[in-house]
Amino acid sequence: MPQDRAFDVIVVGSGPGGGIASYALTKAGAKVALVEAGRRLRPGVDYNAHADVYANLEKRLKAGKMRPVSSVWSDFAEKNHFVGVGDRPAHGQLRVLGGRSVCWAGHTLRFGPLDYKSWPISYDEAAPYYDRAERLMLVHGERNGLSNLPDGVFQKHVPLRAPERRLKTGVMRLKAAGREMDFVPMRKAMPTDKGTLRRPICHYCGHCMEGCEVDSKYTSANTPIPMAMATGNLTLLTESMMTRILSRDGRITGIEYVDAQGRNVEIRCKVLVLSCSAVETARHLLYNGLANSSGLAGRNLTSHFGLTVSGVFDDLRTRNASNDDGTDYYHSLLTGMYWDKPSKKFEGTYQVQCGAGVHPYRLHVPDPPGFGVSFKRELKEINAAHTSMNMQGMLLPSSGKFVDLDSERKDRFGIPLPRVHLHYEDSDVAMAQDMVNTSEEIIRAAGGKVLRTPGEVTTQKLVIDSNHWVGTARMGKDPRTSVVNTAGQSHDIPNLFIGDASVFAAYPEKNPTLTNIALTWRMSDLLTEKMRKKEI
Amino acid sequence: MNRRDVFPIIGAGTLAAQHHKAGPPESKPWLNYTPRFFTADEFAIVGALMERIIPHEEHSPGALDVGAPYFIDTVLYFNTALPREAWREGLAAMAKENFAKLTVAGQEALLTRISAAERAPSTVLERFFPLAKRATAEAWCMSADGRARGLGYTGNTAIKEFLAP
Repeated sequence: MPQDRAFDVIVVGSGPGGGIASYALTKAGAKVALVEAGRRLRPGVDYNAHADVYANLEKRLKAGKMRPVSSVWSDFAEKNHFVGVGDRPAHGQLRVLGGRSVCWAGHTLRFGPLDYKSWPISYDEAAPYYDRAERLMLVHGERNGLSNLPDGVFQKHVPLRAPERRLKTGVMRLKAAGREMDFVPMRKAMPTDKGTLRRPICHYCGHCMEGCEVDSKYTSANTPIPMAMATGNLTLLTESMMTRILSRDGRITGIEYVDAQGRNVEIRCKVLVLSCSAVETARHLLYNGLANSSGLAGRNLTSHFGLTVSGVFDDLRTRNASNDDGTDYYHSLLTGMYWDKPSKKFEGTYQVQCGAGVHPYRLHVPDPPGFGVSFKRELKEINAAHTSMNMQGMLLPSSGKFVDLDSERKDRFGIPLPRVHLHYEDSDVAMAQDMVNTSEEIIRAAGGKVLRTPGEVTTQKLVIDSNHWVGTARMGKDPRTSVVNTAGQSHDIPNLFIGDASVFAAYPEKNPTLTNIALTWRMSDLLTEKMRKKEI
Repeated sequence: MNRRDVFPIIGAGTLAAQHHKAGPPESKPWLNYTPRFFTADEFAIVGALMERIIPHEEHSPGALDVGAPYFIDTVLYFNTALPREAWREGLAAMAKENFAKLTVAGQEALLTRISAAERAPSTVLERFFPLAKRATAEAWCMSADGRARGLGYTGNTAIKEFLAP
């Protein structure tokens, strides 16, 4: 062991949760080590989707990049890092400083009061942290006054494109006929009025998911981690993979990691915060045999799932679609369905992210029929006139969805690979069918034609969201039915905290990142208070 | 490594401004290009096929204008995960039809025949058509001229206000 250093807190994982935990804890005066398995990427250098594709093609392909266009996800995401069991599970993992916050769409939606009904904490307890998080993240959005999608601290929203405005007309018509639904501009963590020194106002190039080259979009790497470094209390350990959690007499004493040179290093701490993602945090708990007296570490796994319906408005074929880039594809959101009147056909709720526009690097309708001049014209016009509606539904937690360890396959550090088990329920299929029917109805009510639809939904047509897993170390008051308490602290091990979406007690249809950040910030404050009172 | 190395102090706004001026002018690596994945005969078929799928027009470039055959040859040469065999098989079937040597009208007649079943292809030629068409559309859309004059696209740049067309 070449080093033996001690910290107040070790945070493992630098994604949305680990980034904010590092900032909140160092700001409060704690000496923190942030341990991240990946390296820091340089925006505009390691990823830059603005670059000319043909001029860079040879260089990219020679370097082993698989796609012609630069993208954080396709260039850096882990491969062969998990084992899928059942209905085609996927698990996105990005080992870089900032984790998956470097590659996210920026969708920033608060969970609402109804969503917290099955949590051990209330919306009112989370609300101040949503405020704080939105101020830090610089979120644009429109104040819509909806009951279960609370308004936040917003900069000016980004307008909808013409086909999305048509969808809104359709929703308003159905609403006027008594249907419960709303259609609002998407809320995203990109400044539109006022940026910061590090984060300029969005310049609407549409490359958000490829990685924002100018750091306009919020990431852990461009906001809380530099702020944590500025406190002087952060030790940043990149390219450092945690391989073992060290414990004695029911307390965590530190961790072992392998550094960039392949050396085993041991560091000690008073408190350990795991922020590795729902799958990876569960994996480390199970591998180290920790915090699992309930037997629920890795259980209650859920994510979002969905499918897509697209439509076309023929009178928009010749509209000016010269620059539809905006803040990436989805500018609008169908929401407000089944919040307080649950469906009789399925459990839970869903939302539908809606987008439109001509996006040359990834045309949404790349294969209209035929060839020649007519095909060429159709390629341009149908993409200008199309819209697509992408379902994001709550995956029903069940005994068939969980994370455990593979008994044979290991990663290069010798740690067993996580297995992700996914088996859809009838309720999941029924929810997706409802989405398909509703989306088709909205397109027609808006005066459009349905272009592509899954039609009758089957399990085989459902697509899991590989990046939205939550719930594997759920929060609760009863140690028999939960892994952590309402402070994010292990019921079993007083100096082990979890700061990521593993702790979600229930999952609505909304995107997880804002709630992950807000609740991890809250956890960090409660942890600080416990340390101050010497309760840990 | 000090903090300045990790997080450059330069304002991100400045970076953004530099960034959009710094792009290299589009080079034309497809001029005088010798294929590396395709044989010369296959490459002749690829060129003719792509040009029929996205032909040159006075106001808008075709597949050959933008170097689409270079693009697909290069991608297939480096990326072993792509369906290389399907390309070889499809081009062998096109060669049997003598595609590269047909007149434009003859090429169009063949494509009309094999594209009729593009949603439910059954023969080798019918299966090859959608594969080649997708590749052609992608190569054309990723080229600067295909985007600009073909699609009328002015994006991939920095604007102050999104106008919601």
